[in-house]
Amino acid sequence: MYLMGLAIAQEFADFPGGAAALAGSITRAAEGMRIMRWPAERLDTLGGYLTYHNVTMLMLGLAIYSAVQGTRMVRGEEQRHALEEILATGWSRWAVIRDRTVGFAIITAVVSLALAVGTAAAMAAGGESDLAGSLVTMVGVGLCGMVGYALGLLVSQLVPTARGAAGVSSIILTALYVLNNTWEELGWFGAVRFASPFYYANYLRALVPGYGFDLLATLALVVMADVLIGLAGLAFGRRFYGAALWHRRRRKELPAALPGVRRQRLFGFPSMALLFRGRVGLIAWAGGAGSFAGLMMALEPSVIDMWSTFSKYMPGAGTDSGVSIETIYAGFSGEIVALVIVAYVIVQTAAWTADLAEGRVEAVLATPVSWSRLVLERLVALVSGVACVTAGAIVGLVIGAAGVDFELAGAGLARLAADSVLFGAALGGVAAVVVAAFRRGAGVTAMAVLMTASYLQGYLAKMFEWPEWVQKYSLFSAFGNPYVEWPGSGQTVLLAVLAIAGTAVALAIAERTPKVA
Amino acid sequence: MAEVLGDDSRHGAIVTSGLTKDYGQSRGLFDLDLEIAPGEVFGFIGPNGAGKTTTIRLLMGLIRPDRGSATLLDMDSQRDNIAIKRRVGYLPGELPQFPRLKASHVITLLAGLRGGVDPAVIAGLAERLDIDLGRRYEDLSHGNKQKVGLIQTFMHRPDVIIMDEPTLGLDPLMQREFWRLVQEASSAGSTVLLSSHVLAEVELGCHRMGLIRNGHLLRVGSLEELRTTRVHRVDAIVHDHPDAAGLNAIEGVSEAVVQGDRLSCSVHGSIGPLLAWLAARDVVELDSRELSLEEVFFTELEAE
Repeated sequence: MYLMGLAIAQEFADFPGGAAALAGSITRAAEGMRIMRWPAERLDTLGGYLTYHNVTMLMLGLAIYSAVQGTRMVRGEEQRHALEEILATGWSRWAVIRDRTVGFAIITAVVSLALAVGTAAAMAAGGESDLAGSLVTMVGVGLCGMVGYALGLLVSQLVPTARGAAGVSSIILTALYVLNNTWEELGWFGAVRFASPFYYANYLRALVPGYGFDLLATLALVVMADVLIGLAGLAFGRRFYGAALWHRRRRKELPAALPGVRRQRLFGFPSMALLFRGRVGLIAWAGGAGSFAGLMMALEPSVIDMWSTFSKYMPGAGTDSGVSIETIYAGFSGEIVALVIVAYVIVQTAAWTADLAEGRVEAVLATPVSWSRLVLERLVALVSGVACVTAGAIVGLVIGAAGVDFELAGAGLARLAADSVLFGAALGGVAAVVVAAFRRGAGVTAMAVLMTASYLQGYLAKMFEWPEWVQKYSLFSAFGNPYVEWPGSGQTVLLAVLAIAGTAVALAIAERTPKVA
Repeated sequence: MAEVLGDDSRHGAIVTSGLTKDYGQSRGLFDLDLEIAPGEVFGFIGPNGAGKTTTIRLLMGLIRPDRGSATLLDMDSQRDNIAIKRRVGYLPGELPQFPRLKASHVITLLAGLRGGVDPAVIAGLAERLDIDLGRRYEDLSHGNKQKVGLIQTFMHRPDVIIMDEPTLGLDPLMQREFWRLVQEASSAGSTVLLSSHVLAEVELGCHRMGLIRNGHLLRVGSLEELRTTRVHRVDAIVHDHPDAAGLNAIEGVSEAVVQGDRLSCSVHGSIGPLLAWLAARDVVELDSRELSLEEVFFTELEAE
């Protein structure tokens, strides 16, 4: 947030015509992209820009995170058999919900306060100090988070698994976010915004001139959270322990289909078994990447319009490179796949760590499979998964492009596919080393920190005019913009070295460490 | 177990020599010398934290020893690990988690990694252990998960079977079925090593057993060999008032207590010398009870 404050203040200073001109240039594109972020008000001020650019997405992110935590708080604990002992002590179900909610509220308050301090620092760095506005804004963000938590808690009482509840809650929150952003275009259905926590939180955008603390909006968010928690408590009190409120009576099970020889052969390779086990998730990843890339492509006319006027905002080489503005935008849309791949690899890292902690590695290594082979096959599965995600993104790009009558270049798409797979292999190599070295959950955190640092490396190097090689050899810079052109040989070598050396180092570490948690 | 294998049948299906894994603070396994014959069923007994699981993990090559060696079927447990695992069935002490998978899927996965597992064998084991493989693995009770573990242990008819606490969570009927499986495997030539802290069941099902404590193997022997060191508890009433010192002086007698005409003591080994001593003292009542192996081991463990 602090860095964003600095960057935006710098943009205001550098932009020809100053903040007002910058705001004018962005507003039109913002309108086109309102499905992702909205409202966009007073973009000529640091508070207005920060709120539009960062706070809106932060609100959604924190709400989804909180919803996932809400699903784990009771149902997740039940599935891990961690709640039975607490309930057996005589603690009531209501007390469990109350205590966990209070605990989560305290955590959310601390997080919101930290965010407010960061935002206040950003505002001060940009020359628009506003501590009160920062605090009020983050109260809105935190309350949105609490509504998300309450929604997750309630949904988890109604669906069979905590994992399923996390998915359903996230979809509901995302839908409410998008509907709130676009309600003016929805006719009578626009009334759905009143059910969206983001609608009320928008009244607390105190960093935007003209807004401040809104008691009614605050109360609305508190009431929403309380009602949802109350309903969750009622459902928890009425349902069977370990089952959703409404669950199908188990039908008489048919005898299990025995594992045939052909299916056994399929699972003779751990990579195939891993892909098969994660097939539903992989479809979701590919679908998500496709939707994201498709949406980006569908926004092409609005953004091209802005870039035509303000070429300064074009990424990469800009029009000076001799590449058409449309091609640059298509490349920019394609670059989205890099972010999805990073997220996918981090999730796979978490899965590898869990495999060791939950005894699956031990079970597999009790068969004639070596640690080295398992590490290699995991990487094969990961790269195959990356290929599927990339394919999903490319399909999304093609569909999005068709929607706006844009013709994509086959060669560009081929470069994008090849570079994405190489990028995935490089990340896989890094992830394999991190998992082999850390062995526990800290490895996932380390991987996330590494990726964030690498992502920021390029931006910060540019912003603070660090040496060119610092920017050039970040992971994301190495990915480049393959739709437009293949990244330089140095970057390709970097990715290949990371993939190969990472795998070799991971194998060496794995062979020397215990195969049990 | 009906019969203890003779010495001639032992050529070391599992052999360890000075096998050591030191976790520090006296935790781990130290200088384990052990030889288990082909077709033998060997029980590894000891309290929690004694080193049973460490031994098993060393044999399976899941952890590396600090020194010493282990061979299974004449192959080095570390160097020839893959070849060994083709011929070994392994049941871990801590059951793995397989979220969102059916039990049949778990079995298929592990059978696939082994290759060449006969589906009919899996079906037969599932029937004998009364488990529905169509259910989600994570929804199964601990005992039913243990059955899935047992199926994957036995399904490829391994030459060596290594199991860590295999009867944990099984009901008595299933425990009986489990011991039948072990007996059948042994009769077919498989070597079985299993750990337990329930001596009573191991006493009935194993040819030999080893007592481990604090990472050290205290004693190894067949049931008969261990019987020679069994202890009798003797209570008697005699007219002639005996003295405790005289009683304690008898060969094999210890813990003698005398209260008036009543005496009680423990006898290690032969009870003959005590009976000769009692015969001269006008015995009114005599009660002799042989301590179970469990009681003997507990006594030894407590004495340490």
